[in-house]
Amino acid sequence: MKKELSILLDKYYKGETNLEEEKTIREEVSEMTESDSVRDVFAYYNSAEKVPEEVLEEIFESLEKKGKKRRLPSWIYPATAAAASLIFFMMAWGIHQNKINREQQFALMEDALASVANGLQPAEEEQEMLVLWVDENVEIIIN
Amino acid sequence: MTTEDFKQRMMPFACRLYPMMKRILGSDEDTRDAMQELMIRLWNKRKELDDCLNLGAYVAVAARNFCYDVRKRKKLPSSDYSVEVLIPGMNSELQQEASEKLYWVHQVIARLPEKYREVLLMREIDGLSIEEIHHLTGYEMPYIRVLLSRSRTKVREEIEKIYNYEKRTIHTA
Repeated sequence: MKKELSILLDKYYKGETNLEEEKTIREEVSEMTESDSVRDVFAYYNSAEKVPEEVLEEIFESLEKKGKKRRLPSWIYPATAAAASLIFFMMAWGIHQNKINREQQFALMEDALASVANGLQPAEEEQEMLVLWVDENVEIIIN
Repeated sequence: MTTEDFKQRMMPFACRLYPMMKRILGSDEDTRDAMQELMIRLWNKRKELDDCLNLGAYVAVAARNFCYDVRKRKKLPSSDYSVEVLIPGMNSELQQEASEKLYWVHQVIARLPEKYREVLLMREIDGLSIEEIHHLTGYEMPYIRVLLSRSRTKVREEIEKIYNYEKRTIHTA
């Protein structure tokens, strides 16, 4: 084993190496030909399952689709708010107008019914009176 | 930030964090689903990512917390550090000898106390920095170095014991 590698490994087992130094150790150790506990331990770390690239590609692809679906022009939000307000006012105005129309129709109907009712009233009959006596002081009338 | 920029930025983290996520969730299917959902969440928070001082630690913590949430939500069993998780091709006859050695290493690591194993795997397999491990585990950085030192030494000693035993057995035979 090279002296430099031996020094690095001492540092490694003391937990004092940084990621860069550990990368160097892995490279150097993987070049060792004879079977050795150190080499096999690093071989195990290197054999650890890595995520297949196509899996990640698939994940990001689905994200891209979602991103595209969600990407709306910036003016769409104020425009939507304005349209919603307009519809609200139009509906409120419509309701108000309906109310006025109904009141007017009711008044007109009331007038018409009153006229009909007046037309149907019998003419006031003149009461027949029998005048028996009239002078300066007394009037005798029989209904 | 476009989705392409996001992908370029997140791809290295996704690669690095996948094994850790799988150790928590146990199956490939759950890990892929979790990774997808995590990336959507991070995409929705992309403005916050720009202000992040240590993006690696932020993403690692988000991934770990998210996986524990998923495991709780789906009521998944605690994933033991099983052979299938890390050594594909164990049954291949051509790789039998090499696989056997890897299997011993695996067994030794699996028998380490949990915090030693956790820190060791975060460093050796996930390639996380000491600072990132500190954010993930809450352990102080000098203590992480101590845990690393002890776990590395323990793994080497145990493997040497097995090899010595094997040698003695062969000589005796």
